[in-house]
Amino acid sequence: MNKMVKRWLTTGLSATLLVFLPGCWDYEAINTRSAVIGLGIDPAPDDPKKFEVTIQFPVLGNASASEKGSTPGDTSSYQNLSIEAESLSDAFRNLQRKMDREVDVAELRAIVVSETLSGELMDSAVGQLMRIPRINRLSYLLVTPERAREILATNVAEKAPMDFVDKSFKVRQQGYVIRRELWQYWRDTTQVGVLPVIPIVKTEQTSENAGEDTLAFGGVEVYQNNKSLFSLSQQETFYLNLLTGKVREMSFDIPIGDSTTALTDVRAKSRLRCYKQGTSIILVDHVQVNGSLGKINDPSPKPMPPTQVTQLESEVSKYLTEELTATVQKLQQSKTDVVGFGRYYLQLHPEDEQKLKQSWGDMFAHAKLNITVHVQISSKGVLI
Amino acid sequence: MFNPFNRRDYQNRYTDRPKPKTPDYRDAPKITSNLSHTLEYVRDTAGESDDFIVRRTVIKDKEAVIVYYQTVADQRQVETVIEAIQDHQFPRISNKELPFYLMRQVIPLGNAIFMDNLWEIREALSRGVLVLLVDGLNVALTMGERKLPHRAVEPPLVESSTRGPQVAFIENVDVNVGMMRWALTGDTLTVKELMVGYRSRTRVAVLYEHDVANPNLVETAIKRIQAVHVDKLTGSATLEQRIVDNHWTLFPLTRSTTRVDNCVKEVGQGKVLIFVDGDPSALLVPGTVIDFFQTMEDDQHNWIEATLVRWLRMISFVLAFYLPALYIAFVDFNPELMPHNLTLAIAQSREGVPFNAATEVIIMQIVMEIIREATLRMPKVMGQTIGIVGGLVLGQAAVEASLVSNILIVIIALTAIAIFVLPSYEFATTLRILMWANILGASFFGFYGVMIVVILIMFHAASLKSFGISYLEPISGEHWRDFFLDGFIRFPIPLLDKRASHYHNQEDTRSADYTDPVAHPLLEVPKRRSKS
Repeated sequence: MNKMVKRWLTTGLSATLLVFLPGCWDYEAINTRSAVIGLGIDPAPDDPKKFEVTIQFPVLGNASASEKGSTPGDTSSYQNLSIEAESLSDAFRNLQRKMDREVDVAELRAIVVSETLSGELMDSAVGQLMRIPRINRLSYLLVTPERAREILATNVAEKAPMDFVDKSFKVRQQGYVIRRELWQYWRDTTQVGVLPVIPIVKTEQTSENAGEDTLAFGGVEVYQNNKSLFSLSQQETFYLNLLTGKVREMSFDIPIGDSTTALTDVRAKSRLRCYKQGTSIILVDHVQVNGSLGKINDPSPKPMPPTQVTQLESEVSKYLTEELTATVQKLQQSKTDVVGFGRYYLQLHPEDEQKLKQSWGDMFAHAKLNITVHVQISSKGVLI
Repeated sequence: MFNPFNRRDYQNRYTDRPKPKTPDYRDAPKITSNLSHTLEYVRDTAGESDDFIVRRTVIKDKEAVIVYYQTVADQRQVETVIEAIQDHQFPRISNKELPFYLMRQVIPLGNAIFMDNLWEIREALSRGVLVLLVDGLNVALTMGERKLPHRAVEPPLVESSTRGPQVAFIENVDVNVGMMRWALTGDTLTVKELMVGYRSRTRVAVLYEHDVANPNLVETAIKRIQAVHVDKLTGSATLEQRIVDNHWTLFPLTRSTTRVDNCVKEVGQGKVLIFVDGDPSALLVPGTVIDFFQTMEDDQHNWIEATLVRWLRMISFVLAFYLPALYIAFVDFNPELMPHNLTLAIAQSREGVPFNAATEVIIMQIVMEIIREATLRMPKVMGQTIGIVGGLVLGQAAVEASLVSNILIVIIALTAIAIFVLPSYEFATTLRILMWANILGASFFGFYGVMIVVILIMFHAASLKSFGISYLEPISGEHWRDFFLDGFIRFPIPLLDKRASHYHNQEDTRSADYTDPVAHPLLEVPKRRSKS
């Protein structure tokens, strides 16, 4: 046979064999799946060893949507399904019985866990979620003092609640919550020298309509070994964000004398360090805060001399230094290092890794503090 | 020296095939001095036709005839010749001297030649030449040129441009060569004329700059045209398919154009231009992939504009090639790789569509191809109807009838338009077929299939050669200068002082700028005054 004919025949045969190679296993058309956008995990009311899993998915192509002109990506019509199960995969398999499409967690946007979830259940839930290969590990993780099932059933702003969570976590303002994605929580639980936190979500009544609730975010819940320890308030979370330099587009009030001054457009940068000096551990944090004047003591609209600005800056710095120190001291009392000083300590003293794993909490609790805040007022505003 | 052309000598691969049954010129008799014998022969062959004319006259008491086809010969030339013969006072000269005397003193036309082979004479007759036969002479005189109407030179129909010369070639090879000579008025432009086809005897003109073009390229082109043994040649496309290196490939291996300025630029670059009589589109060889992304119009614009337009062509190439396939791969196989909102939007618009994405794309692409072909063949006055039927009925109604999703309509429309951003129609057609291959790959295996198709196409394209030059030149990396200076980017014209090196020309330098001209010694002015 001609050499060229042989070669082409071989190529053709190999190409034909490719047809049998993949089969049809990867054919998963978009309309045969239901994109689960929210997942709620509660302890089952009757059996403390069981989960109550709630999933949320948009219902596509209903009549009302097409009448409105069907805006693409609209999630105003959604459905929640709940079930009790021993494991998450069991829950998904059982939920599938009630659905006409495949459960697909690849598009997951937010996971809400209940605060009352016991350590073992939380441990098992996070482990199971991380093990699903297709799961979206960039989905946000939230905790609620209420039932997760109720959070998922809250009607907000013409959207599915979990879509609302996803969108409102993408706004620029950062301060009152610490956003945590699933993988970040997983990272913090497995790493040495830091404790994971989960932002808190609650339902709040909107003032206009008494019956309607909305979702509100604020504060974080501190976890240790997947068990909820205590929660930090909105203000404490703000200070925590200042400590880690993650504040953007915020504003805050400072009581000076008997009135308050406010800074807006606040952003912060911080430089964390942690090292051993003699027998004691020093926690260092230099925070640089930038902001512009919002409200001052003097209500009259006259220009402010530079000396007053400098004075104001030093007063705010002093106030913030005290507050931040107090926040860290509170964390020290409960032996929880959520700022992550331990990570910096480990970088400098890798030989102490075992010690760190066993007793970083105690070491952190007895560390000395050196926290400085430098406030800079970049704009006094435009007074014409 | 590196010589890409001599690696494999071109030979006719179909030597065993039967040749067309046409008489060989070697069998034809020579002309004799007996006029009646000659006339008998001519009558038996050419004389079968009703437009064959034998005009009798007398030269110096000798019987003479002028034979021609009245449909192709110029009637006015016939009259001039007869008038000249009849008015002439012939002196006393011998038969031996008569032909030269006729040529020198009598025939008023410029292109008179002697012929003695009757086969050649028949061929000349059918070309529209007048043949003068004189009793007692064993040679014939052919003269004159055919007179056939041809259309006037017009702006190009397909490759239109906004600026620059607006002339295109026409069906007459003489006019076309004339236009090239008009634009390249130097005697380095060389024209070689060949005859192809036993029956059609089509004139093929090969043009090149003899001190620029690689002589091996010229030789290869001419040899390949001479190796074409057919009975008729119908146009440049049939010639192209017979002389290219690979007959089976999808890619156009020569660049065909009707614009004069394109040809002027490329012949100046060292390419060889081939005209086929009766076809306005000229062939430029070799053709490499970069040629299909640029036009002469690029040189008419600012360099930034030209570069951006070239990038736009590349973007639309990528869009047309990948977009429908990626839609299938995303929607049918891996929706989780899309942004969340886009997934929802597509899922929502596909709600109620009974087909999977692959079927949906294939249906709409077939509809698109039907509209495209119909628009080409349809009388121009009905073009509007097609626009309305295609755009409104098929687009809007198909979505409302839930046959396809409206996001797909956007993709199909974008693909259909993007294909024709490429300036070359041949390459656009190739792209259409490649897009189909990609669609099929994606419908079977998703992203995996798209990758396989792309690898196969790249493998094939990299193995192609056009007249000895690699088809992917200058992208292949060996001649990066060609790729960057006048390929991916079109640098300002004064910087492009070298010809593209991947053609292996004899002469590389294209221009030189005399920024510092030599001053005349008497007029020399001191350039800088000293400070002291």
